[in-house]
Amino acid sequence: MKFLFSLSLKNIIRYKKRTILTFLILSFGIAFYIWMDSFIDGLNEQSFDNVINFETSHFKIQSEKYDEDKPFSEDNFMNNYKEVVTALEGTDFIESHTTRIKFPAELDNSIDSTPCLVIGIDQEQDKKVFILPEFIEEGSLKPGCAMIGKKLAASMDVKVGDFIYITFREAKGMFNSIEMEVSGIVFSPDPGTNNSTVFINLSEAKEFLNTEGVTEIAIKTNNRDKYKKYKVALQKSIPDYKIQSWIDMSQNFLAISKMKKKFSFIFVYFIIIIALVGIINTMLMSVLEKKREIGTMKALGFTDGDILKMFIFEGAIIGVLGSIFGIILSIILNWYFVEHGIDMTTMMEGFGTDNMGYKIIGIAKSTWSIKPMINSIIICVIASVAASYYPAKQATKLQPVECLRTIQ
Amino acid sequence: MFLEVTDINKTYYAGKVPFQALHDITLDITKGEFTALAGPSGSGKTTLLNIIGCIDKPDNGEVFIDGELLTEKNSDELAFYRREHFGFIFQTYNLIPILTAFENVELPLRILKQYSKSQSKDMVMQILKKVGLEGLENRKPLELSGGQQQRVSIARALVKNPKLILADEPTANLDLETGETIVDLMKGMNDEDNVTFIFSTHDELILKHAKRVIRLRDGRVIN
Amino acid sequence: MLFKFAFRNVMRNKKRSFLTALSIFFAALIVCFAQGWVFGLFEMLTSGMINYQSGNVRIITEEYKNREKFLPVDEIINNSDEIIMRIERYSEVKYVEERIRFGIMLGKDETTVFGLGIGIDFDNKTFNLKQKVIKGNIQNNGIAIGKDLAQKLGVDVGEELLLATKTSEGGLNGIKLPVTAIITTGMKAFDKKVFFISLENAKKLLKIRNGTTEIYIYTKQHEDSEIVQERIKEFLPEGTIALTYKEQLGGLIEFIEIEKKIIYFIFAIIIFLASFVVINTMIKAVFERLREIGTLKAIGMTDRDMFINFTIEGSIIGAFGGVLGSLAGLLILIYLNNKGVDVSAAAEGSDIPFESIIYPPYNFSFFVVTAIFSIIIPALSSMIPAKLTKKFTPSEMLRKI
Ligand SMILES: Nc1ncnc2c1ncn2[C@@H]1O[C@H](COP(=O)(O)OP(=O)(O)O)[C@@H](O)[C@H]1O
Ligand SMILES: [Mg+2]
Repeated sequence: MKFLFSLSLKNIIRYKKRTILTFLILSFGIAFYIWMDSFIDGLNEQSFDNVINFETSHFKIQSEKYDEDKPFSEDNFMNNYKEVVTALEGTDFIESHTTRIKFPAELDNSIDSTPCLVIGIDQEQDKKVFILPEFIEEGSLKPGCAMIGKKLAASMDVKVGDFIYITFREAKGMFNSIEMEVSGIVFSPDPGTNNSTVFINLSEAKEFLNTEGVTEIAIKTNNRDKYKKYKVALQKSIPDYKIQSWIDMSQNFLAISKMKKKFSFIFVYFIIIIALVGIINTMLMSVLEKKREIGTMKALGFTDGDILKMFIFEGAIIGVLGSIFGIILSIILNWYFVEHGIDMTTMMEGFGTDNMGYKIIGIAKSTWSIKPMINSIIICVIASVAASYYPAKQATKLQPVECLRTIQ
Repeated sequence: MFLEVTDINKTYYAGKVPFQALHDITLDITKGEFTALAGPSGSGKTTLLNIIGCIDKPDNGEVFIDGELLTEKNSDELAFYRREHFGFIFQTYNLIPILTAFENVELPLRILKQYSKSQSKDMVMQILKKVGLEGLENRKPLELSGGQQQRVSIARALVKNPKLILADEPTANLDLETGETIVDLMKGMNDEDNVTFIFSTHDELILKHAKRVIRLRDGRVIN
Repeated sequence: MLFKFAFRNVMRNKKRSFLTALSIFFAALIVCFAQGWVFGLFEMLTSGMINYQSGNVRIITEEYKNREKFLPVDEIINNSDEIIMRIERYSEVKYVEERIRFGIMLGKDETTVFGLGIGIDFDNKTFNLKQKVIKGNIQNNGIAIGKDLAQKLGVDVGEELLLATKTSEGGLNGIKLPVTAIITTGMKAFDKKVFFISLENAKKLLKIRNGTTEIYIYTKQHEDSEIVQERIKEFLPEGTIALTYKEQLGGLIEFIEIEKKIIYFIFAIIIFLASFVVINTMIKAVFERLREIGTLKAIGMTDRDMFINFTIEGSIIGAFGGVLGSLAGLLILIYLNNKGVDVSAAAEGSDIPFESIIYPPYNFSFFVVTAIFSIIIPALSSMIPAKLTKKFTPSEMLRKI
């Protein structure tokens, strides 16, 4: 076995150029695949970070009947949220928590109006869960005032010290409009926060909506990756609430990435087929030109099985070399996109949208993903072994006498 | 003098080890000669023929044909010269396997581009008849015997009426009887058309058909 | 002659030539297919944008342009009827449409949703609403509402909806209209926020008199946009502008142009990768035919002849696979064009007007472009091994077994 393997290795080294040309196709194919997958993972990772750091933290607890489209319904509010917090006290994996009120409104600068999301925050608690304060660019959230996203401010042409009107609908269906001074501007990497959010103090939000409750409790745990286990635990301690993990909140863009990965894979699939055809071709050439050698080996007592194994090893080595080189290539390619990324701004502007489905502003960066690399090695080796089977089989079919007679 | 070879030396390198295959070869050949180059295997016959036929270059020394210095020409000029004036016959025939006998013989004329299609067809058929291959013109080389293949190769060398035909061991792959008929055939051509032949052989029995014999040993002319 | 010679050499080792051509076949197939797919999407995107956002030429006021993202209803083009009538007479123009778009907070019971109201002539050709009704029917005095928006609001055909918003005069106004039709545009981004009312109702609600906010002009040919724009400019009232789709969608069109270049580059790389197989095969062909090459050189063929010969040989293989592959790619496109591809998952979360089921367009030019790519690149690649024929002297080659 070892001997056969070393024979295969020698054959590969004997035709260096040909081997390299053969596995390079494979390498380029998987390099593209790894890079594409890593880049999409990078987009997801960035989006996850924004979801966790600015929107939902690790878990979002809401009233059981919460309905986003009925923002002012009584059912959306948890009046007994203090009980919930007490119930969760002592849960070992919870690091911190905060309460928020979210409701949609229209923001008006007395000329134009635009939809926005008003978030009432408890500043003391909020900073233990979210990282909003790090991104306040100007001013702060003062009592009786509002702090708004930078892009929203720019498009409404308001500055710190200017007044805005927030119009919303009360539970009874009445429209209500409140005038507020802008006391802070926040510039965060989260498009939602940046483009359409108005922060106010939680106590004031309660007043406006005339409620004692909040719409959500955000919980930060000690390990975001244990969301499945923690969710079960949370459901046990507070069964009557709607509990969503950060992954649940990310389903939207996860569906998009799945689709994108699928499309890029179709593409890669074809490149791999091309590579396989190349491998079959190369191996077939190698079988034909080694006719005399194969004949001699058979005459010396090699079995068909030995010959078959020898060529299949050759295929496997091509596969391994192809994947190693492909991984190296993908690392080089990915390096740039991890370090520098692509500036999505022009693309977004081109499409006239703030939202390509991902929660990213400006520069989109790739990440390092192990999974596509492992997949690549498996794909390459299996595929090239499969491709070498036919030529190897041809080699075993050759008759020793016949082989020895051929000049070449 | 028709062909003059003066002071040819040729050294091969097997890796870094030099091996001198030809030592100071000087030869004269007159027009219409039927000359054999004799010598044991490894004596330098092929090397010398290749140098005369300009498909190899000597380290130094000169080859003149009709007063023209061939050793100074570049590779394209030489290709054009060979195209017009040389015919080659090889030990292993070297016919093009994808072409029929007819097409193999026609090939030099096609490259030469001097004759119309019908002209060249006539020329090919005539020469094939001369070498005794009438009716076999549509066979591919693999469908012919060794002797027949060598006849095709002789026809290919002769078809364009070259000044000089170089044949490297044309009989070595054939049995003696066939070999003798092939040499006779070449001799017949030499007699009829006054074409100059130089052929190499290591077979004394074939040698007796030659009009002149040049003997080589270890890269030197010994007679 | 060289061609015939090369062709016979191709046929000499059929299995090998077939496999080599097969690699180019797959490369051409994916390239032709990807062309239809990607450029098809681009094309759909641009035409979607032209239909719904820019027209071929759109007339708005200058101020409207600055505040467009808020869809201001107080930026009125006066005497719009007269302008429309004049433009309709142009031979290049297909149709002219008046549209009034406005943002609105829609409420029903406890539900509050932001919607985009569009006042149009219900016979409007661009939206072609009558074809898109899934429940009820279009009535002039009713609301035709996007499927997902209706679901969010929990309204059904027959129920009334209160539309309340700021008017062009600055005050608030509200009208109650019945929902008479539920429609689907096939675009998620639209269906979840759009509803349509008649122009009359829109004007009543927004208190717009003797004018409109936007006039969309659709020309018979995209190329006519600039001509029409020029002619309109002559009589446009003070303060209004006419913009072509290129001026409006500049960013998008630029983006697509850059993207196209990148994609052509990727195409070239794919075919070049597949050409590695051609290179490999031809290297092998040169080496196994050294004696033949030597013989041919001995009988007077030049280096150039041999080079051309092997280049043609590789090119025949490449072209054969390439042309058939392009054809196969085109056939797949035709098939998918009939069947459609569901991309609703990708359309879901984004704001881009994108249909959930895509029918990738096919075009003979995809075949032609791919075929050209896959003839030229393998041909150029074959030159690399063909050069090898120059590496040896004829005598060296003749000595090879
Ligand atoms: N390419 C080469 N490299 C090294 N030695 C060579 C080469 N070609 C020929 N020789 C040597 O040159 C000598 C003459 O060869 P050759 O002309 O083929 O002899 P002949 O045709 O008489 O048998 C031989 O000893 C041979 O080994
Ligand atoms: Mg010899």
